[in-house]
Amino acid sequence: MAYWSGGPSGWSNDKGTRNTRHANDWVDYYAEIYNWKLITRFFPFIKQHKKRMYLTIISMLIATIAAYLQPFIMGIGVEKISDSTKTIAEKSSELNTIVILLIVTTMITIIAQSFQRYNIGFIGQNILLDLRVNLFKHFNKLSMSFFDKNETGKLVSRATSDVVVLQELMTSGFLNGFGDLFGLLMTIILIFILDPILACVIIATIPILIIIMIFWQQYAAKAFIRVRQAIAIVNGTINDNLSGVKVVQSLNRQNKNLDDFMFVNNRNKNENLSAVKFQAAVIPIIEFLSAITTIIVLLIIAIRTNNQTLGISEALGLATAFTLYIQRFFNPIRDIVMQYTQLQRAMAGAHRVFEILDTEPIILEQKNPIKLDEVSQIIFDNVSFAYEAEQQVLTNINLNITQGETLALVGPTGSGKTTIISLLSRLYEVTSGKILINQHEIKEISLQSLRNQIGLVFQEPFLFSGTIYENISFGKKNASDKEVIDILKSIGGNNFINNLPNGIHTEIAERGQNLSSGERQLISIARALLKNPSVLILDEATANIDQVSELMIQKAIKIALKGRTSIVIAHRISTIELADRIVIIHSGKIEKIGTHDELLKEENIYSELYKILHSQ
Amino acid sequence: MNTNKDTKIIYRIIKHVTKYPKIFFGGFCSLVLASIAVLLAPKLIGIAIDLIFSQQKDISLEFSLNNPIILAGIALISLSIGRGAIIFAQSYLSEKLSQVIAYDLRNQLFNHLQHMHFAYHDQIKIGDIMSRATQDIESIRFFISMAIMRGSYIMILGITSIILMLSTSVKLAIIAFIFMPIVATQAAIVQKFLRKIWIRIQSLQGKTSIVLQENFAGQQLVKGYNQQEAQHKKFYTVAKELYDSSLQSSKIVAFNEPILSGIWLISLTCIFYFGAQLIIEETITVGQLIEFQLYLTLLQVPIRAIGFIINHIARVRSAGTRLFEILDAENLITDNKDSKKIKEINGKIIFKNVFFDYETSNTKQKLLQDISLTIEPGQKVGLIGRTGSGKSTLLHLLPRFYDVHKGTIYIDDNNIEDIKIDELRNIFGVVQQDVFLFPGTIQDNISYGIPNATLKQIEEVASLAHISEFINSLPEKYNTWVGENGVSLSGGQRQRIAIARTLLMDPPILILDDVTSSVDLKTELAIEQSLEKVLADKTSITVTHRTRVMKKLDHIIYIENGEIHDQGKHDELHERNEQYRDLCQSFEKQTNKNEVQ
Repeated sequence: MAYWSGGPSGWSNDKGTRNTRHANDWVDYYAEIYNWKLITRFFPFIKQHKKRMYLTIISMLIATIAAYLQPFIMGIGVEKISDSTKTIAEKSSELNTIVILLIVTTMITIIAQSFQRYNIGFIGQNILLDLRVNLFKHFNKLSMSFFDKNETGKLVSRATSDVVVLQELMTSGFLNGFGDLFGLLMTIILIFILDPILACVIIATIPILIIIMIFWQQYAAKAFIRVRQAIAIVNGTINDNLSGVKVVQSLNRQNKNLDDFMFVNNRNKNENLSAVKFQAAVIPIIEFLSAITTIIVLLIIAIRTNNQTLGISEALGLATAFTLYIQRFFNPIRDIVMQYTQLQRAMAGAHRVFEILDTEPIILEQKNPIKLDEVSQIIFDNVSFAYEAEQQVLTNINLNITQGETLALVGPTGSGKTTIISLLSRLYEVTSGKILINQHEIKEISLQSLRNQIGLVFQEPFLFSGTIYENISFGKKNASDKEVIDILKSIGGNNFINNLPNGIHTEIAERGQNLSSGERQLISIARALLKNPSVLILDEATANIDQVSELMIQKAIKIALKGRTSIVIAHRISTIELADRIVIIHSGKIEKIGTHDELLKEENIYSELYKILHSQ
Repeated sequence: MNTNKDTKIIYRIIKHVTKYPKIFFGGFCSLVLASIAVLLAPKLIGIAIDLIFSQQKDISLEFSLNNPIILAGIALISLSIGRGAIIFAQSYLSEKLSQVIAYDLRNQLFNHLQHMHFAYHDQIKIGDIMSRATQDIESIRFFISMAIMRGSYIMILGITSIILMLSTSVKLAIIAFIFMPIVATQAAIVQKFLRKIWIRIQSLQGKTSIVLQENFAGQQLVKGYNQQEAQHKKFYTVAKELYDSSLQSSKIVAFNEPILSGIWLISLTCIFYFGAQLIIEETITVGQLIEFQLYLTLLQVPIRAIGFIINHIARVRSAGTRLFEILDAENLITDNKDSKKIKEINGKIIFKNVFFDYETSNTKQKLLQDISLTIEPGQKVGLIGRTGSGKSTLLHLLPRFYDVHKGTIYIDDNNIEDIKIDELRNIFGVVQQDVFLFPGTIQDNISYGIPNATLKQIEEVASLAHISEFINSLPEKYNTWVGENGVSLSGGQRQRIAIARTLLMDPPILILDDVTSSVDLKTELAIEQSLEKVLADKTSITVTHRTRVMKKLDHIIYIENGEIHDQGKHDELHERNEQYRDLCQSFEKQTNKNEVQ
């Protein structure tokens, strides 16, 4: 097991840690393809299409009845034409009746089945649309902590690939399964009508089939899960190695990594082969069962003919009908085995989709919330906050911010500055203490009116795909072109627009690559100012700006802050100096509050760093 | 479509198959046997029925090998057991063949990519490569198991059953043959049509992903700007488009399936009708009619699969093109034929008239212009210049991450292109500005270059890099997981782990590319102190913005716009070179602004 300890692209020293990490997504939900509880979750969605659903079920019943009647009719046909007491003319006319019956049943089957499938498709697609839209809306209701915990990529795949596998379930597996079951029932009834004793022979195989299915559930289901885990690890390893390929080459680790990769790749191959054994074994077993049953049935018919309890022509009819029914009898089981992995995947997908829909949003509005027209005062009253129970981020924060004041938050990375401003937008809920805005507790205020009053600018200016205009007017959809240009002008940032082919209606390239970091930040500042918020929050807005645009942004910030209540998180002294008061935060606690001059007079982080920098 | 190229791709895939002749022939033989076994069963059933019913005399059911009925029964049972075993072998071997080839291809791809030159990796997108590594290899795998193996099976099954049917009744056989091509073409046409819609659906799925991606990545803005409603509308628009296309495809499927099985049922009816007439005329027996019906039932699934097989062949052409495009990409940086091993490194570096430019850049001016310089063994050199002046580029040329366009670089009088690449890279320890950590434990990451390093060695370098205190404060210490689902580290912490990772390699020459840019001042000072110890007896090249550091270096190379502007001691340069003085001043200003953390 030498490979089990090793570098990052193999496993960690702790046996199988990596294995479980990569495979986490699969572990919880497995196996049972007909998980009833999960299936019932679809009922509310199906309910909206009640009428269509009934029609579908009826057409499915008609199609199944018509299709399963055919061997029965053929049996009768054979019996009639092999009746030696009849003349050729009689036989021919009876044959014609039989054939007409067969054609009629075929046509009924085709029409009813098309109708059934079309409607299933329709209902299925509508449910998917509903699910997608519901899921999307639900995501947006969840609090920020949900998005912190779950990576974007993972969330996207939940809303896309998990729903896509459901599509397969909807359009093929789900209702066909019921069709198959009904077909089975039909077969049993019809063979009982034909001949109860022979029917018993066929039914005797049911326990054997049940044993096979239980066995399948027990072993095969797990084997398929291991297959998916194994391939997830293979893909994860390729991805990691590609992302860090430059490090791999500079540290000459190619050989070790190839060994590690071959190990996981080989395991994937073996898991696949052991899973395919199950799948490959079931079909021959079923074929064998069907052959044995056919032989026994034929023998019994032969014995009875021999005993004279059955006429030759009747015997032939029975033989025809039964050989054909036995073939069909095993079809549903064959289908389930062949579609097993697909159904399993769909169930896992459904599980994960509903898991998200079941996640309760933490941040809720009260009934009749207070509407905010402006912010005149912000008070943090003994506010503490923890993302997780043990991880205290903020402890007893007390702040009083008055209208028009600019407050700078200073402190090391991870000290809790960003958390303070996130709490103010109520992206998270305080763990204890209160935040009061205009003397109202933040929980009593309508979320929309609260967030309307706050303009946010982040370190990384996030731009949506679309035009510059669309991005600036993000918070005020009906803004005119002039408003957008004016707001850019007001912060001195309209120059770069003139160099663009379509002005503010220029499309922004992927990740904003056709704009400099400074231009992107200008857009995000303009976006914040356009909705004319009473509070402006700048979170390290100048941290990632290239040297050329720095002055431009500094100027824009200065203008933006003027006369507005603002909270600024900054590292640059030039920005901090703009603040009326500076709050030093360390390990989630306020260490000191004061003006620039006051803070420099005493010993604290701010003055210490300030001195180091100026002593050089 | 270029047919010649297509056949080449398929030929290449088949060449992979020939690497495993045993599995292939095993699989092929079993599929021949399987198709015979499958078709023998209806024959035997037919004979048995006729034996039982056509003989007008009494039938004996006595258990004796002379009794044809018992004989037929035994034959049927042993046949079905044998058939089961063969079918099992056939499906298992087809799968095995496809799996071993996929395994090979994945290994090849992995190894090829991890050796490709940096400029190649600058161009590619990981998402694109991943889709080739997953979907395209899977398409090739399906092609092998579905088109090659299952395709041969269906062909053999088809041909054998045609012969068997003809031998039973020519008239009925002809009627059956009329329906087969109808079903096969119908299946193929619909498949093709569906594929078009599928491509559209896939692109629409891409569109929804983009909306989702942006919505999640910009979630703070969506919430902060109360844009949930607008986002819902945006999403609904693309979701609705997706719905429309999906509905269209499910409509086609809805009508296609019943029509296909309908054609089949009608053909069964026709056979029954004409067969019955033949029975009345007494040209065939009831057993033979049943036999015929069973052939058709057996053939139904494989013939409908022809559509899928055609689809797999179409898909493998594009999948193969995409995959081989990567595997055929030439590695531009490889060992020379007569590359040598070097025994000991003194650490003398010479650049002689070196020119360089990245291929992607479209500016006329070269990134590095006529660089000539000498670094003596043990010298501590500083590389100073503005962002974009070419410092990092120059450093990347040393371990041959990129190759020079003109000129030569020597190490101890050896042209670096004559040294084996892995040896060359062992000479240089490079700490980059952007740090990449692998998902794994901290220990895994520090020991990345020397996987069998002891914990003691790891702790030693961690303390040199001033990260041991932090690591020990974590509950799982060196076993703490970093990366996805692990602890999140600050830029400074990542940087220090990267320094430790490089120090563990104990390279004779250290390259430090602005390594303290993302740590706070206190840590920076601490790292500088310990690096001083490490660098004491090594050649080193440092890129820095700190005048404090520059003062301590033996030699400064001042680069501006890809050219060496001046070199010498910091104090000398500071005195004689006005531009250098300006640069140092702007560095200091910037430092002030950055430092209050």
